[in-house]
Amino acid sequence: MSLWRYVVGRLAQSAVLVLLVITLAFFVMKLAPGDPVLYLYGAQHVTPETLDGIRRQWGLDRPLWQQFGRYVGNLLRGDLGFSHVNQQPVGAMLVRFIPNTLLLMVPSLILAAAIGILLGIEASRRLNTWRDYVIGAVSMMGFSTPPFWLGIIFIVVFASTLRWLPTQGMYTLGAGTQGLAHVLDVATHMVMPLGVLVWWYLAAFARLTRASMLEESRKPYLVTARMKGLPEGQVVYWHALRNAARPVLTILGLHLGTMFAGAVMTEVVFAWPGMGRLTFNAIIQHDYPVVLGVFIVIGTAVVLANLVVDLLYVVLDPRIRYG
Amino acid sequence: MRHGIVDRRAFLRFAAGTAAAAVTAGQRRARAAEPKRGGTLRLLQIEPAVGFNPALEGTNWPETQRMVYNGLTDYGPTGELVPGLARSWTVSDSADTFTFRLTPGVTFHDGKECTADDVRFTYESMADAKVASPLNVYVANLKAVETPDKHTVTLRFDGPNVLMMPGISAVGILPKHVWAGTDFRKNPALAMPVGTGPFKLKEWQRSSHLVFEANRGYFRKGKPYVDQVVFKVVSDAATGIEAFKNGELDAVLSQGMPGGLPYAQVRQLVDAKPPNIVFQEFVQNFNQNLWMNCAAPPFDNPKVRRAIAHAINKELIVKALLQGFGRVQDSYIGNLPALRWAHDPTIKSEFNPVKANQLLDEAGFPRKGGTRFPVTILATEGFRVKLSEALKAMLAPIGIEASIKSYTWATYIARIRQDRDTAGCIWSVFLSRQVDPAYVMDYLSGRNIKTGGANYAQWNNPRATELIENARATAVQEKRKGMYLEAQRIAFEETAVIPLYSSVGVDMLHRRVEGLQSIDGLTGTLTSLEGVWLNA
Repeated sequence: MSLWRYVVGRLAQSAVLVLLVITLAFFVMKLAPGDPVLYLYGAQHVTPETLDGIRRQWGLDRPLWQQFGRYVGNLLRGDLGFSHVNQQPVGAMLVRFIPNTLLLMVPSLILAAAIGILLGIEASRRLNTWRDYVIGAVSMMGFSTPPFWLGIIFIVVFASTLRWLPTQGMYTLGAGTQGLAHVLDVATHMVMPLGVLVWWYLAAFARLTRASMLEESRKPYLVTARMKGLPEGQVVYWHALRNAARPVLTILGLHLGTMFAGAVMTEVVFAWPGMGRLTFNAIIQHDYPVVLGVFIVIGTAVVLANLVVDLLYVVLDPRIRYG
Repeated sequence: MRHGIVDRRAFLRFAAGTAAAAVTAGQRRARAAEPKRGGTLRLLQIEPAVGFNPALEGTNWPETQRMVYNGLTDYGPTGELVPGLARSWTVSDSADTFTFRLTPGVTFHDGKECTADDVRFTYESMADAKVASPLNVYVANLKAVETPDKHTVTLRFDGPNVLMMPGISAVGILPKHVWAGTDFRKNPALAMPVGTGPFKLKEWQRSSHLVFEANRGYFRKGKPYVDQVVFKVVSDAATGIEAFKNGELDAVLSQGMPGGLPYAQVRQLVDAKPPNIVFQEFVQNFNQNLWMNCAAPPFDNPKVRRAIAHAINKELIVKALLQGFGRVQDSYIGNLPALRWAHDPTIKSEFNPVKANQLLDEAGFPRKGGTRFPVTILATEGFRVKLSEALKAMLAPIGIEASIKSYTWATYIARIRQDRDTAGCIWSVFLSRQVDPAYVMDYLSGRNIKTGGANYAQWNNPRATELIENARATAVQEKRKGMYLEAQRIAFEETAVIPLYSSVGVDMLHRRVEGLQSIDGLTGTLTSLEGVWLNA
């Protein structure tokens, strides 16, 4: 039962952490000059009385602690608040944007991790050969190229010149495709953003796997394994990788959490309707409840993903015990 | 062809005489035979629309408001007011009584008839302090709305309302049965607006896209021609241009303005003259101004403000920064279609750094080690930063050391408008929607000096204020003109504000898009899409 106590403890800790994050976010945002009313109406010829009238309707005229109290109160009832800027409940907005982000992020992380780990192993086995160098160069190139630039290059090559793929968006608007046709439509729209993201994430996995594998390769248990006459594949992929995987898993866990934040630059370049753009717009618009809603989602996801990773360590390494 | 900038009419003349020139709007209309029906028109939208209800949004996102709503009036091919929901109207000589006769049989998207009651409800909502509509400056003196019958509505104001016809008569009419008695800011119709307009909103994903479908019960029989219109938000300029060039998007309207695609990229596209794309230039209805805090040193001294005006090379700004998408403006009431009658063409400001230096010496700001005093230029990311860098370079030769502070728009406008934290600052704010001189002159009236009001510069000239307020309360245009000429002259002599340029826009369309008129004095976003068809 000690594992359960550990999990429950961690969850309680997490709730406190998320609450701290939103408290901080709430007050930091309110400290910044400017408000959503001025964002929307500041350029129009409106009277100060009108601006105050709108603020009153939006509850922005109340003292900060009251606004915060009200927000937390609603939150405890499961209500993420109402975005006056976007004229929608925050919950409804998140429900529409989260799936779009996951659709892009989950496959790119899985692909990046899978390809990255394979490349990392390959590089570590062919240390200081041309293969090692090529793998290193390719993965570092993806990491050191800004996603918006790479995205534009992809667009110019694959959309404008070769005309293989659509330039932007998640599906062909107004086409009203259904079923399989729709799936195919979305898939073709996904290819380029997915490519950019996979290439970008790849480096971390490849480099880390390589370093981690190299460290393991010097350890006596591998010598023993080989002396036992185990096939090389089993030595590498079963024994070495299992131990080398822990740091890789840590990185994966971190990415899994922040995955909900989306990838702002990639989403902007490909006009993908994901969480990154939602957050970016909400910050520009001073749309407080949306920003807080996003923070809650990301905060919770990061905390949970790390908890899952910590539990997975037990599976990978029986020496680790919690409780 | 002043300053080497081609305005649209000159452009048309030029194009007509040049075989290789782009096909002009006129020729396009001549070529266009019978409009074809069907198809989806896809437009680029840079900034996502957040709302539709005109009483709440005011003049934000007119391009999408006009899809679903009709106003009492509409805009004709030269920007003049033509019948909309009202088939005719009369304005009393004292400009305080407006009577509209509505077209019978017009229905909202939900099938209910649009009547005088809906018009009454719409205008009363705009004037209602509880609604806090940003449009209430246009109808602030509304006294009574009468509906003698189902298709007649009379708006009575306390004194003249010179902004009623040009400013608000084309704003959309709301269905009373949907909005009455509800909390405007929580009504489900916020997300699914109901109007009489040529299109119905079908799908809306905030920050991403809007899909409209044709309203087959539209009161202008036979219109709209296209089945669907898509507004796609693409925030990244390079992607937007690629998507337009390769035909995923059919049109990009109203470019050549801040917040749109970068000027250089638009210029590049226009100059490349792609054979499949048509460019229609037009005069936008807004201008850019530099403001200074006239209530605090050093800009409380008119000589200092005039020195700044002499230091700025507007032609260079238009040429280098705007890439030609503007015309230098010197008088505060610009030479724009709706303002022309009150515009003073004799007002000319002079780029003259020598004079600027003299004025600063006279004002008591000698050079100390090369510098007279520091100022702060406020900016927002993007175009304003570039403009500020140019200004900084222009102020250096007259011994003013400028530092640039850049903010997000909300913070920027809060500092200027709400906090009035602008002592020693220079900043730029666009005056959009120049529908009448009364609208632009309000920004210089002493009445609007209080915190949050439109007189950001806090310029307080009793005579000018008197003229501005009197002109607003005068019905006869000829009388108003004299007042505006004098107020304009005072504003120029005192350098209350430094007008920089008025904006030249360009609508960019694929050749298959027909029937889209670019109208001088209306931003292209106000061009109705009901007459557009696709020659696929």
